[in-house]
Amino acid sequence: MSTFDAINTIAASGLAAQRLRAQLVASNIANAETTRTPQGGPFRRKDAVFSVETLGMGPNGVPITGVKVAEIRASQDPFLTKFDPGHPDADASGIVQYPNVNPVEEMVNLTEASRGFDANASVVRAVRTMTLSAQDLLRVT
Amino acid sequence: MFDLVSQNPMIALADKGMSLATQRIALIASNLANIDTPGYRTKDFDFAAAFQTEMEKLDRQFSPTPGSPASPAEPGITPPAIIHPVDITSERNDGNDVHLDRENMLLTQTQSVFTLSSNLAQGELRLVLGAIRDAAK
Repeated sequence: MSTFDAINTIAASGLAAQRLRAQLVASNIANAETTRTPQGGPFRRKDAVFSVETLGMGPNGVPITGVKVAEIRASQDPFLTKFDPGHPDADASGIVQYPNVNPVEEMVNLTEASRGFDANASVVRAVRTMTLSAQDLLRVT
Repeated sequence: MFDLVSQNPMIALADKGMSLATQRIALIASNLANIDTPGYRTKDFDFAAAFQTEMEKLDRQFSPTPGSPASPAEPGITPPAIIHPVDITSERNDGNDVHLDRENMLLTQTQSVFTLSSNLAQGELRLVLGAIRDAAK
């Protein structure tokens, strides 16, 4: 594996991880009011946990470390409760349990994911510029 | 056999510069990929020291001291020692100390080192080509 390929693989792992995170944020926000899930009960907020992934050794003994999503964890925070006796999912005392999604927290997560995505994209851009300037070596005349 | 390209000290030096810059970009890419990994520590190496080592190797190869034969060309570059450059006090509470601004700055900087080296090599190649053209006239 050439070092340029290795760098692109690392950046790609970062892009994939951050994209998955943004996807989870989207599903959290979309389901912020969902009171019914196939597992029963309201929707639980989901978050990605990242871990280091060793993709092998580079040509000169420099380790190639990317990132991977180790697990997608459902939040165990308590559900939000609201008094709404007219709601079909209200219990005997008129309380409805809503998902434990905090929209503000989700927006922070989204910003963080998008910044991480941009950082990895700029690595890909840098590699492209470097490849072009290496190619220019063939253009001597 | 005298080889105009690989026996040229300037081109050999530019080659080392490009290899080291690529290795550093690989570390920066790892740091940026792991920006949200709990417990990850920033990785880097001392570019100036690594480049110095390579320059000394080239010195031994191209301008040997009188009395001792020129040392043969050493292939590849010495793997630089990996360091953790970020101060432990700036660590976030998940144990990760990757600094987005620092990595972005280093990314641009290292990219310019690579472009500069490749431009140097290209200039030297132009010089060699010019010499061949003049001789052929």
